[in-house]
Amino acid sequence: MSHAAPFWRPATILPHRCMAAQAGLLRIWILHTADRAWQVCSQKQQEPASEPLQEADPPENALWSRFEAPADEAAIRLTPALPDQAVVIRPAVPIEVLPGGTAEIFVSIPCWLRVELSGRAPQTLCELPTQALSKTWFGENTQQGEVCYSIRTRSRRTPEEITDIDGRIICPVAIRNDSHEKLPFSRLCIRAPHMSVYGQPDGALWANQTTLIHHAAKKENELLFSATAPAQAAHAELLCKPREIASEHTLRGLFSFL
Amino acid sequence: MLAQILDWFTLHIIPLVRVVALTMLGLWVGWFLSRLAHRQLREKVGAQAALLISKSIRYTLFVLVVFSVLRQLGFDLGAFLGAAGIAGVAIGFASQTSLSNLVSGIFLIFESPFKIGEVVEIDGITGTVDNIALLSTFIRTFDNRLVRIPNETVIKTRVINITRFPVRRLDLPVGVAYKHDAGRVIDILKEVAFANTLCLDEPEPLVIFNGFGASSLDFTICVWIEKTNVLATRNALLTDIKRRFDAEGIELPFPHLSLYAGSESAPLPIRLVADPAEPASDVPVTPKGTV
Repeated sequence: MSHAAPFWRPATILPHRCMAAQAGLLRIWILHTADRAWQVCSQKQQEPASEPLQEADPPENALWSRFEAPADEAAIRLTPALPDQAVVIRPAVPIEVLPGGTAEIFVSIPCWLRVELSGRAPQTLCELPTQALSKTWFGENTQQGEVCYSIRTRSRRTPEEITDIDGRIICPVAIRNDSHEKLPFSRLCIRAPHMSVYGQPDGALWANQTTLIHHAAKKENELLFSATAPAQAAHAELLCKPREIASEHTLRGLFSFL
Repeated sequence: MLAQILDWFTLHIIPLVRVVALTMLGLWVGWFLSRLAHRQLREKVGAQAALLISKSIRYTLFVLVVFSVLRQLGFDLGAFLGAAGIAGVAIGFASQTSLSNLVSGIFLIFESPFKIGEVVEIDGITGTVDNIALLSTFIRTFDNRLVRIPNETVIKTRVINITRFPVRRLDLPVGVAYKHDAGRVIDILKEVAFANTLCLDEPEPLVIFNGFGASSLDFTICVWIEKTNVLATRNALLTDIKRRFDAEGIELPFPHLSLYAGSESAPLPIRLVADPAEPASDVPVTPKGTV
Protein backbone atom coordinates (compact mmCIF):
# COMPACT_ATOMS: atom_id res chain seq x y z
CA MET A 1 0.00 0.00 0.00
CA SER A 2 1.50 3.31 -1.06
CA HIS A 3 1.44 6.47 1.00
CA ALA A 4 -0.39 9.71 0.33
CA ALA A 5 -0.32 13.19 1.81
CA PRO A 6 -3.25 13.85 4.14
CA PHE A 7 -5.45 16.47 2.49
CA TRP A 8 -7.78 16.95 5.44
CA ARG A 9 -5.56 19.20 7.57
CA PRO A 10 -7.23 22.61 8.12
CA ALA A 11 -5.71 25.58 6.31
CA THR A 12 -6.19 29.30 6.75
CA ILE A 13 -7.22 31.15 3.63
CA LEU A 14 -7.00 34.90 3.99
CA PRO A 15 -9.42 37.17 2.11
CA HIS A 16 -8.68 37.51 -1.64
CA ARG A 17 -6.50 34.37 -1.57
CA CYS A 18 -7.08 31.03 -3.27
CA MET A 19 -5.98 27.53 -2.32
CA ALA A 20 -6.26 24.19 -4.11
CA ALA A 21 -6.12 20.56 -3.04
CA GLN A 22 -6.60 17.21 -4.71
CA ALA A 23 -8.19 14.00 -3.50
CA GLY A 24 -8.29 11.13 -5.94
CA LEU A 25 -9.39 12.41 -9.33
CA LEU A 26 -10.94 15.60 -8.01
CA ARG A 27 -9.03 18.87 -7.79
CA ILE A 28 -10.77 21.57 -5.81
CA TRP A 29 -10.14 25.34 -5.58
CA ILE A 30 -11.37 27.45 -2.69
CA LEU A 31 -11.38 31.22 -3.04
CA HIS A 32 -11.93 33.51 -0.05
CA THR A 33 -13.34 36.47 -1.94
CA ALA A 34 -14.05 38.76 1.02
CA ASP A 35 -15.08 38.64 4.62
CA ARG A 36 -17.52 35.74 5.04
CA ALA A 37 -17.74 35.18 1.27
CA TRP A 38 -16.36 32.00 -0.32
CA GLN A 39 -16.25 30.46 -3.77
CA VAL A 40 -15.59 26.81 -4.60
CA CYS A 41 -14.95 25.09 -7.92
CA SER A 42 -13.66 21.67 -8.94
CA GLN A 43 -12.32 19.85 -11.97
CA LYS A 44 -11.81 16.20 -12.78
CA GLN A 45 -8.15 15.24 -13.28
CA GLN A 46 -6.62 12.47 -15.35
CA GLU A 47 -4.36 11.03 -12.63
CA PRO A 48 -5.34 10.45 -8.99
CA ALA A 49 -3.37 12.28 -6.30
CA SER A 50 -3.58 13.33 -2.69
CA GLU A 51 -2.43 16.89 -2.05
CA PRO A 52 -3.24 19.13 0.93
CA LEU A 53 -4.48 22.70 0.54
CA GLN A 54 -1.82 24.96 -0.99
CA GLU A 55 -1.75 28.43 -2.47
CA ALA A 56 -2.82 28.28 -6.12
CA ASP A 57 -4.14 30.47 -8.90
CA PRO A 58 -7.85 30.10 -9.55
CA PRO A 59 -8.57 28.25 -12.81
CA GLU A 60 -9.90 30.09 -15.82
CA ASN A 61 -13.43 29.48 -17.11
CA ALA A 62 -14.37 27.58 -13.97
CA LEU A 63 -17.93 27.26 -12.76
CA TRP A 64 -17.84 28.67 -9.24
CA SER A 65 -20.32 28.10 -6.44
CA ARG A 66 -20.68 31.01 -4.03
CA PHE A 67 -21.34 30.83 -0.31
CA GLU A 68 -21.99 33.50 2.33
CA ALA A 69 -20.87 32.35 5.77
CA PRO A 70 -22.55 33.68 8.93
CA ALA A 71 -19.27 34.28 10.77
CA ASP A 72 -15.88 35.57 9.71
CA GLU A 73 -13.86 32.34 9.60
CA ALA A 74 -10.68 31.86 7.62
CA ALA A 75 -9.93 28.19 8.39
CA ILE A 76 -11.07 25.64 5.82
CA ARG A 77 -10.99 21.89 6.12
CA LEU A 78 -11.63 19.19 3.53
CA THR A 79 -13.27 16.31 5.36
CA PRO A 80 -13.36 12.92 3.63
CA ALA A 81 -16.75 11.25 3.89
CA LEU A 82 -18.23 8.01 2.63
CA PRO A 83 -20.87 8.14 -0.13
CA ASP A 84 -24.38 9.22 0.74
CA GLN A 85 -25.90 5.93 -0.47
CA ALA A 86 -25.00 2.29 -0.01
CA VAL A 87 -22.30 0.94 -2.31
CA VAL A 88 -22.59 -2.40 -4.09
CA ILE A 89 -19.27 -4.10 -4.69
CA ARG A 90 -19.11 -6.75 -7.39
CA PRO A 91 -16.01 -8.90 -6.90
CA ALA A 92 -14.36 -9.96 -10.14
CA VAL A 93 -14.69 -13.57 -9.03
CA PRO A 94 -17.71 -14.77 -6.99
CA ILE A 95 -16.79 -15.86 -3.48
CA GLU A 96 -18.14 -18.81 -1.50
CA VAL A 97 -17.76 -19.00 2.26
CA LEU A 98 -17.80 -22.52 3.65
CA PRO A 99 -19.82 -23.35 6.79
CA GLY A 100 -18.08 -21.97 9.87
CA GLY A 101 -15.69 -19.94 7.73
CA THR A 102 -15.06 -16.22 7.58
CA ALA A 103 -14.02 -14.27 4.50
CA GLU A 104 -12.10 -11.09 5.22
CA ILE A 105 -11.88 -8.71 2.31
CA PHE A 106 -10.80 -5.12 1.81
CA VAL A 107 -12.50 -2.88 -0.70
CA SER A 108 -11.69 0.73 -1.50
CA ILE A 109 -14.43 3.28 -2.13
CA PRO A 110 -13.90 6.78 -3.63
CA CYS A 111 -14.51 9.38 -0.94
CA TRP A 112 -16.75 12.43 -0.93
CA LEU A 113 -15.10 15.77 -0.09
CA ARG A 114 -16.90 17.92 2.43
CA VAL A 115 -15.71 21.56 2.34
CA GLU A 116 -16.10 22.87 5.87
CA LEU A 117 -15.45 26.11 7.69
CA SER A 118 -13.59 24.73 10.68
CA GLY A 119 -14.45 27.22 13.38
CA ARG A 120 -16.01 26.59 16.75
CA ALA A 121 -19.13 25.31 15.03
CA PRO A 122 -17.99 23.76 11.72
CA GLN A 123 -20.27 24.51 8.82
CA THR A 124 -20.37 22.67 5.51
CA LEU A 125 -20.11 24.80 2.38
CA CYS A 126 -20.61 21.95 -0.06
CA GLU A 127 -19.89 18.27 -0.65
CA LEU A 128 -18.44 16.80 -3.82
CA PRO A 129 -17.74 13.20 -4.93
CA THR A 130 -14.14 12.64 -5.97
CA GLN A 131 -15.36 10.25 -8.64
CA ALA A 132 -18.69 9.93 -10.42
CA LEU A 133 -19.98 6.46 -9.62
CA SER A 134 -22.54 4.58 -11.66
CA LYS A 135 -25.60 3.27 -9.88
CA THR A 136 -27.29 -0.06 -9.54
CA TRP A 137 -30.44 -1.59 -8.12
CA PHE A 138 -30.01 -3.82 -5.07
CA GLY A 139 -33.08 -5.83 -4.22
CA GLU A 140 -34.97 -9.05 -4.66
CA ASN A 141 -37.02 -7.62 -7.53
CA THR A 142 -37.56 -4.28 -9.25
CA GLN A 143 -40.30 -3.29 -6.80
CA GLN A 144 -38.47 -3.84 -3.51
CA GLY A 145 -34.92 -2.71 -2.93
CA GLU A 146 -32.89 0.44 -3.18
CA VAL A 147 -30.68 2.36 -5.59
CA CYS A 148 -27.01 2.08 -4.64
CA TYR A 149 -23.70 3.18 -6.07
CA SER A 150 -21.90 0.46 -7.98
CA ILE A 151 -18.22 -0.41 -8.04
CA ARG A 152 -16.67 -3.22 -10.05
CA THR A 153 -13.43 -4.10 -8.34
CA ARG A 154 -11.25 -6.88 -7.16
CA SER A 155 -11.80 -7.48 -3.47
CA ARG A 156 -8.42 -7.81 -1.74
CA ARG A 157 -7.53 -10.17 1.04
CA THR A 158 -4.91 -7.86 2.59
CA PRO A 159 -4.78 -4.06 2.68
CA GLU A 160 -1.25 -4.17 1.26
CA GLU A 161 -2.70 -5.34 -2.05
CA ILE A 162 -4.61 -2.10 -2.45
CA THR A 163 -2.46 0.26 -4.48
CA ASP A 164 -4.79 3.11 -5.40
CA ILE A 165 -5.47 4.79 -2.07
CA ASP A 166 -5.50 8.42 -3.25
CA GLY A 167 -8.92 9.77 -2.35
CA ARG A 168 -10.23 6.31 -1.54
CA ILE A 169 -11.41 4.85 1.74
CA ILE A 170 -10.46 1.29 2.62
CA CYS A 171 -13.37 -0.68 4.06
CA PRO A 172 -12.54 -3.92 5.92
CA VAL A 173 -15.43 -6.37 5.62
CA ALA A 174 -15.71 -9.77 7.31
CA ILE A 175 -18.35 -12.25 6.13
CA ARG A 176 -18.97 -15.00 8.64
CA ASN A 177 -21.00 -18.04 7.69
CA ASP A 178 -22.60 -19.52 10.82
CA SER A 179 -24.90 -21.78 8.83
CA HIS A 180 -24.36 -25.39 7.76
CA GLU A 181 -24.42 -24.59 4.06
CA LYS A 182 -22.10 -22.81 1.67
CA LEU A 183 -22.67 -19.08 1.38
CA PRO A 184 -22.14 -17.92 -2.20
CA PHE A 185 -22.27 -14.25 -3.05
CA SER A 186 -21.43 -12.26 -6.13
CA ARG A 187 -22.45 -8.84 -4.83
CA LEU A 188 -21.77 -7.17 -1.53
CA CYS A 189 -23.75 -4.18 -0.29
CA ILE A 190 -21.70 -1.89 1.94
CA ARG A 191 -23.86 0.35 4.09
CA ALA A 192 -21.63 3.39 3.59
CA PRO A 193 -23.94 6.00 5.22
CA HIS A 194 -23.71 4.07 8.50
CA MET A 195 -19.92 4.01 8.62
CA SER A 196 -17.25 6.36 9.96
CA VAL A 197 -14.03 7.53 8.30
CA TYR A 198 -10.64 7.45 10.01
CA GLY A 199 -7.42 9.02 8.78
CA GLN A 200 -3.84 7.92 9.32
CA PRO A 201 -0.83 10.25 9.36
CA ASP A 202 0.46 8.57 6.20
CA GLY A 203 -2.67 9.73 4.34
CA ALA A 204 -4.53 6.42 4.28
CA LEU A 205 -8.27 6.58 4.91
CA TRP A 206 -10.11 3.75 6.67
CA ALA A 207 -13.71 2.93 7.48
CA ASN A 208 -14.72 1.03 10.58
CA GLN A 209 -14.86 -2.75 10.42
CA THR A 210 -18.11 -4.24 9.09
CA THR A 211 -19.04 -7.82 9.95
CA LEU A 212 -21.80 -9.68 8.16
CA ILE A 213 -23.04 -12.80 9.93
CA HIS A 214 -25.14 -15.30 8.03
CA HIS A 215 -27.48 -17.52 10.08
CA ALA A 216 -29.38 -19.92 7.87
CA ALA A 217 -31.23 -21.58 10.73
CA LYS A 218 -32.86 -18.37 11.93
CA LYS A 219 -33.25 -17.09 8.36
CA GLU A 220 -32.03 -13.77 9.60
CA ASN A 221 -28.68 -12.15 9.02
CA GLU A 222 -26.79 -9.67 11.12
CA LEU A 223 -24.75 -6.65 10.19
CA LEU A 224 -22.39 -5.29 12.81
CA PHE A 225 -20.30 -2.10 12.73
CA SER A 226 -17.38 -1.67 15.08
CA ALA A 227 -17.39 1.58 17.00
CA THR A 228 -13.66 2.19 16.60
CA ALA A 229 -11.01 2.32 13.91
CA PRO A 230 -10.07 -1.07 12.42
CA ALA A 231 -7.10 -2.97 13.83
CA GLN A 232 -5.03 -2.15 10.74
CA ALA A 233 -5.33 1.56 11.57
CA ALA A 234 -5.45 1.51 15.35
CA HIS A 235 -3.93 4.99 15.77
CA ALA A 236 -6.01 6.69 13.11
CA GLU A 237 -8.05 9.76 14.05
CA LEU A 238 -11.79 9.98 13.53
CA LEU A 239 -12.44 12.35 10.62
CA CYS A 240 -16.09 11.84 9.82
CA LYS A 241 -18.95 10.34 11.78
CA PRO A 242 -21.64 8.19 10.12
CA ARG A 243 -24.22 10.09 8.10
CA GLU A 244 -27.04 7.96 9.51
CA ILE A 245 -27.49 5.92 12.63
CA ALA A 246 -28.44 2.39 11.62
CA SER A 247 -31.67 1.10 13.06
CA GLU A 248 -32.21 -2.53 13.95
CA HIS A 249 -34.72 -2.88 11.11
CA THR A 250 -32.33 -1.40 8.55
CA LEU A 251 -29.48 -3.65 9.53
CA ARG A 252 -31.44 -6.86 9.42
CA GLY A 253 -33.70 -6.06 6.50
CA LEU A 254 -31.08 -4.96 4.00
CA PHE A 255 -28.51 -7.60 4.66
CA SER A 256 -31.06 -10.23 3.75
CA PHE A 257 -30.57 -9.25 0.10
CA LEU A 258 -27.01 -10.49 0.12
CA MET B 1 -93.39 37.92 40.79
CA LEU B 2 -90.42 35.70 41.68
CA ALA B 3 -92.38 32.66 40.60
CA GLN B 4 -93.07 34.30 37.25
CA ILE B 5 -89.39 35.10 36.77
CA LEU B 6 -88.46 31.51 37.66
CA ASP B 7 -91.05 30.17 35.27
CA TRP B 8 -89.80 32.42 32.48
CA PHE B 9 -86.24 31.47 33.27
CA THR B 10 -87.09 27.78 33.26
CA LEU B 11 -89.07 28.15 30.07
CA HIS B 12 -86.59 30.18 28.01
CA ILE B 13 -83.12 30.51 29.47
CA ILE B 14 -82.47 26.92 30.54
CA PRO B 15 -83.36 25.46 27.12
CA LEU B 16 -81.29 28.17 25.49
CA VAL B 17 -78.28 27.36 27.68
CA ARG B 18 -78.82 23.68 26.98
CA VAL B 19 -78.89 24.33 23.22
CA VAL B 20 -75.75 26.46 23.34
CA ALA B 21 -73.93 23.89 25.48
CA LEU B 22 -75.05 21.06 23.23
CA THR B 23 -73.91 22.93 20.13
CA MET B 24 -70.52 23.83 21.53
CA LEU B 25 -69.89 20.39 23.01
CA GLY B 26 -71.06 18.61 19.84
CA LEU B 27 -68.91 20.76 17.55
CA TRP B 28 -65.89 20.34 19.80
CA VAL B 29 -66.34 16.54 19.97
CA GLY B 30 -66.68 16.45 16.17
CA TRP B 31 -63.54 18.52 15.71
CA PHE B 32 -61.61 16.44 18.26
CA LEU B 33 -62.65 13.06 16.86
CA SER B 34 -61.95 14.08 13.25
CA ARG B 35 -58.48 15.37 14.22
CA LEU B 36 -57.79 12.19 16.17
CA ALA B 37 -58.93 9.98 13.28
CA HIS B 38 -56.86 11.96 10.78
CA ARG B 39 -53.75 11.69 12.92
CA GLN B 40 -54.17 8.00 13.71
CA LEU B 41 -55.14 6.87 10.21
CA ARG B 42 -52.81 9.02 8.08
CA GLU B 43 -49.97 6.49 8.22
CA LYS B 44 -52.21 3.44 7.88
CA VAL B 45 -54.61 4.32 5.07
CA GLY B 46 -52.92 7.32 3.44
CA ALA B 47 -53.45 11.06 3.66
CA GLN B 48 -56.42 11.22 1.28
CA ALA B 49 -58.38 8.41 2.90
CA ALA B 50 -57.60 9.76 6.38
CA LEU B 51 -58.85 13.19 5.31
CA LEU B 52 -62.04 11.67 3.89
CA ILE B 53 -62.72 9.67 7.06
CA SER B 54 -62.03 12.61 9.36
CA LYS B 55 -64.31 14.90 7.33
CA SER B 56 -67.02 12.24 7.31
CA ILE B 57 -66.82 12.02 11.11
CA ARG B 58 -66.96 15.79 11.46
CA TYR B 59 -69.93 16.29 9.13
CA THR B 60 -71.86 13.31 10.58
CA LEU B 61 -71.49 14.69 14.08
CA PHE B 62 -72.40 18.15 12.78
CA VAL B 63 -75.65 16.79 11.33
CA LEU B 64 -76.41 14.98 14.61
CA VAL B 65 -75.79 18.19 16.54
CA VAL B 66 -78.13 20.09 14.22
CA PHE B 67 -80.87 17.47 14.70
CA SER B 68 -80.40 17.52 18.47
CA VAL B 69 -80.58 21.30 18.56
CA LEU B 70 -83.71 21.35 16.41
CA ARG B 71 -85.29 18.81 18.74
CA GLN B 72 -84.34 20.89 21.76
CA LEU B 73 -85.97 23.89 20.11
CA GLY B 74 -89.18 21.91 19.69
CA PHE B 75 -89.15 21.16 15.96
CA ASP B 76 -90.92 18.02 14.71
CA LEU B 77 -88.08 15.99 13.22
CA GLY B 78 -90.40 13.36 11.76
CA ALA B 79 -91.90 15.78 9.30
CA PHE B 80 -88.50 17.31 8.66
CA LEU B 81 -86.90 13.94 7.90
CA GLY B 82 -89.80 13.01 5.66
CA ALA B 83 -89.37 16.20 3.68
CA ALA B 84 -85.61 15.64 3.60
CA GLY B 85 -86.17 12.11 2.25
CA ILE B 86 -88.36 13.36 -0.60
CA ALA B 87 -85.87 16.13 -1.33
CA GLY B 88 -83.06 13.58 -1.23
CA VAL B 89 -84.72 11.41 -3.87
CA ALA B 90 -85.30 14.45 -6.07
CA ILE B 91 -81.76 15.69 -5.63
CA GLY B 92 -80.43 12.17 -6.26
CA PHE B 93 -82.20 11.93 -9.60
CA ALA B 94 -81.04 15.40 -10.54
CA SER B 95 -77.41 14.76 -9.66
CA GLN B 96 -76.73 11.23 -10.82
CA THR B 97 -73.44 12.22 -12.49
CA SER B 98 -72.18 13.98 -9.38
CA LEU B 99 -73.13 11.03 -7.18
CA SER B 100 -71.39 8.65 -9.56
CA ASN B 101 -68.28 10.78 -9.39
CA LEU B 102 -68.57 10.95 -5.61
CA VAL B 103 -68.79 7.18 -5.21
CA SER B 104 -65.97 6.74 -7.72
CA GLY B 105 -63.89 9.24 -5.72
CA ILE B 106 -64.41 7.23 -2.54
CA PHE B 107 -63.39 4.01 -4.31
CA LEU B 108 -60.40 5.82 -5.80
CA ILE B 109 -59.20 7.09 -2.44
CA PHE B 110 -59.38 3.69 -0.79
CA GLU B 111 -58.09 1.70 -3.78
CA SER B 112 -55.22 4.20 -4.11
CA PRO B 113 -53.93 3.42 -7.63
CA PHE B 114 -51.92 6.65 -7.40
CA LYS B 115 -50.97 9.28 -4.87
CA ILE B 116 -50.55 13.03 -4.99
CA GLY B 117 -47.19 13.84 -6.60
CA GLU B 118 -46.94 10.66 -8.67
CA VAL B 119 -46.73 10.80 -12.46
CA VAL B 120 -49.63 9.03 -14.15
CA GLU B 121 -51.25 8.61 -17.53
CA ILE B 122 -55.04 8.76 -17.37
CA ASP B 123 -57.25 8.75 -20.43
CA GLY B 124 -54.29 9.69 -22.62
CA ILE B 125 -53.21 12.58 -20.39
CA THR B 126 -49.81 12.37 -18.73
CA GLY B 127 -48.83 14.52 -15.76
CA THR B 128 -48.35 14.80 -12.03
CA VAL B 129 -51.30 14.14 -9.73
CA ASP B 130 -52.08 17.52 -8.21
CA ASN B 131 -55.15 16.67 -6.14
CA ILE B 132 -57.59 13.81 -5.62
CA ALA B 133 -60.94 15.36 -4.70
CA LEU B 134 -64.22 13.57 -4.12
CA LEU B 135 -65.67 14.49 -7.50
CA SER B 136 -62.60 14.77 -9.71
CA THR B 137 -58.87 14.21 -9.99
CA PHE B 138 -56.60 17.05 -11.03
CA ILE B 139 -53.55 16.35 -13.20
CA ARG B 140 -50.84 18.95 -13.78
CA THR B 141 -49.37 18.29 -17.20
CA PHE B 142 -45.68 18.80 -17.98
CA ASP B 143 -46.48 21.99 -19.91
CA ASN B 144 -48.10 23.32 -16.70
CA ARG B 145 -51.78 22.95 -17.53
CA LEU B 146 -54.25 21.74 -14.95
CA VAL B 147 -56.57 19.02 -16.22
CA ARG B 148 -59.69 18.05 -14.30
CA ILE B 149 -60.76 14.46 -14.87
CA PRO B 150 -64.09 13.27 -13.37
CA ASN B 151 -63.51 10.39 -10.99
CA GLU B 152 -66.02 8.25 -12.87
CA THR B 153 -63.76 8.52 -15.92
CA VAL B 154 -60.72 7.62 -13.83
CA ILE B 155 -62.44 4.50 -12.53
CA LYS B 156 -63.60 3.44 -16.00
CA THR B 157 -60.46 4.17 -17.99
CA ARG B 158 -56.98 2.64 -18.01
CA VAL B 159 -54.61 4.28 -15.51
CA ILE B 160 -50.83 3.93 -15.80
CA ASN B 161 -48.81 4.87 -12.73
CA ILE B 162 -45.42 5.77 -14.15
CA THR B 163 -43.53 6.54 -10.95
CA ARG B 164 -44.90 4.01 -8.46
CA PHE B 165 -41.61 2.10 -8.27
CA PRO B 166 -38.18 3.67 -7.64
CA VAL B 167 -36.72 2.39 -10.91
CA ARG B 168 -38.17 1.93 -14.36
CA ARG B 169 -37.05 0.77 -17.79
CA LEU B 170 -36.44 3.16 -20.64
CA ASP B 171 -36.70 1.70 -24.16
CA LEU B 172 -35.13 3.55 -27.08
CA PRO B 173 -35.47 2.36 -30.70
CA VAL B 174 -32.30 2.53 -32.80
CA GLY B 175 -31.95 1.71 -36.51
CA VAL B 176 -28.70 1.20 -38.44
CA ALA B 177 -27.95 0.65 -42.11
CA TYR B 178 -28.18 -2.87 -43.54
CA LYS B 179 -24.49 -3.03 -44.39
CA HIS B 180 -23.42 -3.23 -40.70
CA ASP B 181 -22.89 -6.35 -38.61
CA ALA B 182 -25.78 -6.76 -36.16
CA GLY B 183 -23.61 -8.39 -33.49
CA ARG B 184 -21.16 -5.50 -33.53
CA VAL B 185 -24.02 -3.01 -33.20
CA ILE B 186 -25.39 -4.89 -30.19
CA ASP B 187 -21.95 -4.85 -28.52
CA ILE B 188 -21.54 -1.11 -29.13
CA LEU B 189 -24.99 -0.28 -27.76
CA LYS B 190 -24.26 -2.32 -24.62
CA GLU B 191 -20.92 -0.58 -24.13
CA VAL B 192 -22.59 2.83 -24.48
CA ALA B 193 -25.23 1.89 -21.90
CA PHE B 194 -22.69 0.55 -19.41
CA ALA B 195 -20.54 3.68 -19.78
CA ASN B 196 -23.44 6.03 -19.03
CA THR B 197 -23.63 6.67 -15.28
CA LEU B 198 -27.36 7.41 -15.47
CA CYS B 199 -28.05 3.81 -16.55
CA LEU B 200 -28.16 1.33 -13.70
CA ASP B 201 -25.65 -1.50 -13.83
CA GLU B 202 -28.33 -3.89 -12.63
CA PRO B 203 -30.75 -4.90 -13.98
CA GLU B 204 -28.32 -5.04 -16.87
CA PRO B 205 -28.92 -3.02 -20.05
CA LEU B 206 -30.56 -5.11 -22.74
CA VAL B 207 -30.32 -4.77 -26.52
CA ILE B 208 -32.99 -6.44 -28.65
CA PHE B 209 -32.62 -7.02 -32.39
CA ASN B 210 -36.19 -6.44 -33.49
CA GLY B 211 -35.77 -7.41 -37.12
CA PHE B 212 -35.31 -6.17 -40.66
CA GLY B 213 -37.10 -2.87 -41.09
CA ALA B 214 -38.04 -1.07 -44.28
CA SER B 215 -34.90 1.04 -44.24
CA SER B 216 -32.79 -0.27 -41.40
CA LEU B 217 -31.84 -3.06 -39.04
CA ASP B 218 -34.05 -2.26 -36.06
CA PHE B 219 -32.82 -2.53 -32.46
CA THR B 220 -34.23 -1.50 -29.09
CA ILE B 221 -31.90 -0.57 -26.27
CA CYS B 222 -33.52 -1.10 -22.86
CA VAL B 223 -31.89 0.46 -19.80
CA TRP B 224 -33.03 0.64 -16.18
CA ILE B 225 -32.95 4.09 -14.63
CA GLU B 226 -34.08 5.96 -11.55
CA LYS B 227 -37.62 7.19 -12.08
CA THR B 228 -36.59 10.86 -11.90
CA ASN B 229 -33.95 10.57 -14.64
CA VAL B 230 -36.07 9.80 -17.70
CA LEU B 231 -35.43 12.90 -19.78
CA ALA B 232 -31.79 13.26 -18.71
CA THR B 233 -31.08 9.62 -19.60
CA ARG B 234 -32.89 9.82 -22.93
CA ASN B 235 -30.86 12.89 -23.94
CA ALA B 236 -27.55 11.53 -22.67
CA LEU B 237 -27.97 8.06 -24.12
CA LEU B 238 -29.09 9.21 -27.57
CA THR B 239 -26.20 11.69 -27.66
CA ASP B 240 -23.74 8.97 -26.64
CA ILE B 241 -25.10 6.57 -29.25
CA LYS B 242 -24.83 9.16 -32.03
CA ARG B 243 -21.26 10.06 -31.05
CA ARG B 244 -20.19 6.43 -30.80
CA PHE B 245 -21.83 5.49 -34.11
CA ASP B 246 -20.11 8.44 -35.80
CA ALA B 247 -16.78 7.32 -34.34
CA GLU B 248 -17.34 3.72 -35.45
CA GLY B 249 -18.58 4.72 -38.91
CA ILE B 250 -22.01 3.24 -38.35
CA GLU B 251 -24.70 4.84 -40.46
CA LEU B 252 -28.06 5.90 -39.07
CA PRO B 253 -30.16 5.59 -42.24
CA PHE B 254 -32.92 7.87 -43.39
CA PRO B 255 -36.01 6.15 -44.75
CA HIS B 256 -35.25 5.40 -48.41
CA LEU B 257 -36.79 3.65 -51.39
CA SER B 258 -35.00 1.45 -53.97
CA LEU B 259 -36.52 0.78 -57.37
CA TYR B 260 -35.52 -2.46 -59.11
CA ALA B 261 -36.31 -3.09 -62.71
CA GLY B 262 -35.91 -6.84 -62.09
CA SER B 263 -33.12 -9.22 -63.10
CA GLU B 264 -34.69 -9.98 -66.46
CA SER B 265 -35.28 -6.42 -67.46
CA ALA B 266 -32.85 -3.94 -68.84
CA PRO B 267 -31.41 -1.15 -66.73
CA LEU B 268 -33.57 1.92 -66.39
CA PRO B 269 -32.49 4.53 -68.89
CA ILE B 270 -31.64 7.92 -67.49
CA ARG B 271 -31.17 10.96 -69.65
CA LEU B 272 -28.31 13.17 -68.45
CA VAL B 273 -28.48 16.77 -69.52
CA ALA B 274 -24.90 18.10 -69.22
CA ASP B 275 -25.19 21.30 -71.17
CA PRO B 276 -28.23 22.80 -72.82
CA ALA B 277 -26.03 23.65 -75.82
CA GLU B 278 -24.94 19.99 -76.38
CA PRO B 279 -27.30 17.25 -77.59
CA ALA B 280 -28.62 14.92 -74.85
CA SER B 281 -27.63 11.24 -74.80
CA ASP B 282 -29.18 8.12 -73.27
CA VAL B 283 -26.84 6.51 -70.71
CA PRO B 284 -27.53 3.06 -69.17
CA VAL B 285 -27.23 2.97 -65.38
CA THR B 286 -25.39 0.19 -63.57
CA PRO B 287 -25.58 -1.88 -61.53
CA LYS B 288 -29.04 -3.30 -62.14
CA GLY B 289 -30.56 0.02 -62.92
CA THR B 290 -30.85 1.21 -59.33
CA VAL B 291 -31.84 4.85 -59.19
